[in-house]
Amino acid sequence: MNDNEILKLLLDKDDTALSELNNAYQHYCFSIAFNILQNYEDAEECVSDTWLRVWNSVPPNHPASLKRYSARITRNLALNRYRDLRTQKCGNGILCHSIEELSECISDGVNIEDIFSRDEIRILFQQFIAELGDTDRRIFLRRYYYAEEISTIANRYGMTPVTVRVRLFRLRKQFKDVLEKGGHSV
Amino acid sequence: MKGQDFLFEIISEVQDEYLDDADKLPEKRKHFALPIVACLILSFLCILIVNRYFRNNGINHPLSINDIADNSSAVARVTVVTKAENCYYSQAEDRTFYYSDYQVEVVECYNGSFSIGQKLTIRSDDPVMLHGLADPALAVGAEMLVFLYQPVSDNYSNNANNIFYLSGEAQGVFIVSDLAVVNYGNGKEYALSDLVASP
Repeated sequence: MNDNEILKLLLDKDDTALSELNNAYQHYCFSIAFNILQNYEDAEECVSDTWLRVWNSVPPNHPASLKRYSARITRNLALNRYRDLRTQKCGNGILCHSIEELSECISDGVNIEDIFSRDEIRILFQQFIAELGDTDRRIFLRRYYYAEEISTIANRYGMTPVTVRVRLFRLRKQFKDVLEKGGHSV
Repeated sequence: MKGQDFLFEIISEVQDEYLDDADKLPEKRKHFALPIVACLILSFLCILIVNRYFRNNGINHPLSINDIADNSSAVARVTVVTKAENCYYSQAEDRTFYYSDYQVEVVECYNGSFSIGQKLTIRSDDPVMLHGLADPALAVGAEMLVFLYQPVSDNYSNNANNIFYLSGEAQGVFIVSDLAVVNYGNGKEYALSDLVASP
């Protein structure tokens, strides 16, 4: 069943939409959640919650791509779960390296939310991502959108893990430069 | 919220077109992998063909015993036990037939049913063959590859059972050296591995 057909079921509030969503995007969303949480049960739970969120939000929302819409919800749910686990320290030492690496884009002791509004950051990020070369942008998104392992990215693009690591380091620095040029010292 | 979490959340809002692009398999693999592999295979085949060509003195295909055995019923590698003996007999006063007998011992048999160590008599009544067999290079102990007919009903001798006639391409006698087999008659050289590899 394609996106439009599932979307029609959702709009009609036909509950077969949930199983169809699961059939279509379960693996995709699960891999996103699992990359962040590194835990099978938590990732499964995120995916189930995702379908519920989609069910509750469509309508009124009418996403252009159900795949991307579901992925964003999964990603945010996984991020919230990750924060909870980290705060409660009950995540068996869980550490999502891709998230932690992003701390390099901000100077120590700076609370970025005090400096930027969400809209400002969004605009600066869009500007940063648009200026990247194709390969750099792909690597950046595989790492910081999908939270993929460096070795997986290296394998995907036929590079060595060291090369990917170095490129990511430069990209984080570049992102930090963009944020600083945005008029604020971060 | 920690700063890195905030940035990670913001990255969620990247445009779909960039995500679509990041989900695609790398173009490099899709477009170049196959031609590169094909080129490598072609290069390898070219090297093999050129190598074969030079190894076989310009004969552009691998040679096997079957290629040069013609209608031989037996192919064997033998060592010379006694030197050629030139003989003749006369059917009439004006008709004298010459022939040459070679005593050899079978070292290896590729075709036919000789056993190793079996002694054979090879007879030639071909003038070129006579010359070849009488050559000093084929001294006692020399190795050669011979292409033989089955024992024929013999006009010259009574012990027909172990007398064989030569056959095969050219004169059918090949000197075996370490690396190659040389056709004694026409001087062509064949790789030993090509010859012995035939079924």
